[in-house]
Amino acid sequence: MGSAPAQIPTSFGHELRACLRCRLVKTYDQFRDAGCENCPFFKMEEDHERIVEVTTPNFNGIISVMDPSRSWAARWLRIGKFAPGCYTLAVSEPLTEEMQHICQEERVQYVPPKRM
Amino acid sequence: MDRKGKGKQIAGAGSSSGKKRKGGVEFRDEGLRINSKRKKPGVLQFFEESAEVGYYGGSSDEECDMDDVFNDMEDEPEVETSGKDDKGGKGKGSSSFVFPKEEEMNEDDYDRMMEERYKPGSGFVRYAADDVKSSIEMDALVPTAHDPPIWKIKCAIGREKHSVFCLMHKFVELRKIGTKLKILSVFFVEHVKGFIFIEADKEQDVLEACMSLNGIYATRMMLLPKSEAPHLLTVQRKTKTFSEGTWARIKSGKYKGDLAQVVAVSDTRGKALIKLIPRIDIAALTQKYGGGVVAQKASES
Repeated sequence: MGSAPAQIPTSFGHELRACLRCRLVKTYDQFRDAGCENCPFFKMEEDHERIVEVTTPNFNGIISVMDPSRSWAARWLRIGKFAPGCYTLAVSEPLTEEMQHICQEERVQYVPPKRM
Repeated sequence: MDRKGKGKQIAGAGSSSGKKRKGGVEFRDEGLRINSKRKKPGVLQFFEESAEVGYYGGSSDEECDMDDVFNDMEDEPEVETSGKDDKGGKGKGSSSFVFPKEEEMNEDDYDRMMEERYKPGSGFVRYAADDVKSSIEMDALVPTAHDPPIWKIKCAIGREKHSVFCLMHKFVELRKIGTKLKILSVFFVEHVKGFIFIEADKEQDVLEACMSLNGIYATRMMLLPKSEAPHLLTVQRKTKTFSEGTWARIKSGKYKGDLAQVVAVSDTRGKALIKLIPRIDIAALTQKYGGGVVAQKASES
């Protein structure tokens, strides 16, 4: 039936944040409780300050992906390999250098946002 | 092909140019020079090299010239370039190419080079997955006939975001009880108000998904042309960044219509500090503090 979906945000206010690497959208509290399902190496559930470092409240557009493997939109947005969940179309800033380094060490892909 | 002793004799012992160089070649990590257009002289014809000319810092036919390689070896100052074939003006600033004389290379140097190349974080190693992703450069990828169609559905204005989350919740809840919501994804775009977009194989799937959900009017449904889809998903940076000193006009509230000037901008927070002329209601203030002289005549303000 597909992989387990990520937590879905339960509120829509300013607590919503998007992970800067995978663009998953959840509330701050959800990141604090369960970390990011696609980026467990950030260990947000252990280090709460990290949440502020790797997520941002500045993002544009939301897409709910039920079946990432079959969705064209998910593939186009490069989230086709991630868990089902709510993602944003674009984030405002890139990951810090330090965090990018962690991505490289973990051999995970990171694509910085395009500047229009 | 008379190369005056610089070409084919390199691999051999005791070439005229060979004896001028110190034993072992300093192998640079940047990569190998490629003679892309000529048959590689000497040992190089047996040397397998990548064809990525661009990676190795630019190329031109001229740079294939072996003479320049010797001439340009910057970090071997003691190497006397044989002036015989000096082609003068072809000297290149970038000396990021070296012949790998495998037989002559120092073991330690080789180890060091390999280590540098393959350590995590170096740009040298490229995985097949990377290439695939960048070659399907997402901007150019238009949905094909194999991809599911995208439907444009009318939605209550201002409730687009809510509807998108709602459908995701519905999917998760149905999944728990074993039913599968058949739509593949749903999204909204900031600048297209009053609509959400659902990716699904069949119109029926969309109708089922939107059934009994408030704010989604599935009866008004249109098929989106495939060519428009990438454009939708490309987020335009709608807010132009403005700098300090820009003028602005307040749109709502007490100061509606007033002129203001930007004092400071915080992009990360999406906020700006502005200054404007305060609107202070003196009468209300004085009454509040219970003081002041009440005007004898009723004054109109």
